[in-house]
Amino acid sequence: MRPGVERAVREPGYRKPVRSDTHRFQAYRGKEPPRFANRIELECARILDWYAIPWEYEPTSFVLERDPQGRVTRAFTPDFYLPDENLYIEVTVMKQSLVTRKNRKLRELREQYPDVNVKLFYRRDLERLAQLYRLRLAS
Amino acid sequence: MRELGAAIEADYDGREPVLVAPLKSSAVFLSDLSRALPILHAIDLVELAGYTDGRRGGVRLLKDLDGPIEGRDVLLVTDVVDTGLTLAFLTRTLAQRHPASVAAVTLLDRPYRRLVEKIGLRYVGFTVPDELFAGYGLGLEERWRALPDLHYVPAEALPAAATDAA
Repeated sequence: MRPGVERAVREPGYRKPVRSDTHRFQAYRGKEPPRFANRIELECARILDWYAIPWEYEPTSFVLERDPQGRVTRAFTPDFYLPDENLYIEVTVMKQSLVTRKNRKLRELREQYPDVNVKLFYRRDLERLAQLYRLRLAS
Repeated sequence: MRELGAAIEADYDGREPVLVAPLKSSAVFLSDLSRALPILHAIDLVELAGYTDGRRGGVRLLKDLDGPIEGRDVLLVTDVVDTGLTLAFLTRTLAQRHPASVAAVTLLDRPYRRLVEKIGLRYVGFTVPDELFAGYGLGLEERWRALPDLHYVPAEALPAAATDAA
C-alpha cells in the first residue's frame, strides 16, 4: 500500500448504509460485503455488474490532510475502484453544475496523488445507461 | 460522413469488413455510413437488452448477429460513446467469436465521460459536449428518433424527471 493511502475509514456524517446481497454481484472483487451509502451507489454497482466490469467498493482512503501530530484530518474515499481500468470512481447524484465541492476534492486528490486516476460518475451517466435497457433507477 | 467513409476505406481496402450496429439508435448512422463507404462490406445488426433472473442481472444480445464473423474484420458502428461500457461489452462479446479484428466507429463521442478505455474506438465523427441530442436515429424515451437531423435538446425541453438527470 502506498504511503498516505489507508484502508477505508468512514468519515463523520456517514449515512446509514444500503444493504446489498453480495452474492448477487458477479463482478465484485472486494473481500467484505459492500454496504452502499445510498441507492444511487447501488445502482452504479448493478450497472458495472451488468457489464461484467470488475469492481471494488471503497477499497482505499486517500489522506488529504494531517494535523501536526500526524493524525488524519481529511481524507477522500472514492466510491468504486475498477481494477482492470486502474480507475477510481466517485458517484454523485447532484447536477453537474452543483458538484463544485466534489470537484475540489477530486482536484486535491489529483494534486497530491498524480498517479491516481479518478473520475466522477454522474447520475446522468446512469440515466443514459438505464434508458438503454429501460431500467428504473431510484429517485 | 464522407470523411469517415474515406478513413475507413483507407484502412480496410480489400478486406470487406462487417459493419455491426446495435439497434435502434445507430440505424440511421449505419445507413449513411454504409452509403459513404466505397468498398465492399457486409451489414449486420444486434440488439442489446438487460435481463434479470431474480438474483442476477446482466446485458445480453436480444438479437444476435445473423452470420458468423470468424476471420472477418468487424467494425462496430455506434451512435454515441460516453462511458464506453456498452461498446466494451460488444467488443468483448464479439471478440470471443475469433474475428480477424474488432474496431469501432462512433458518430458522437464524449471521451471525458469514459470509464472503460479498452473499446477499440478508431473513428470518431464529432466530439461533443455533455448535452443531450435527439433525431437522426437518437431518441429520448423513444421521442424524436425520427427527426431527420441531429438536434441538441436543451434541458428545459425535457420532462422534469429527465431534467433532474440532465
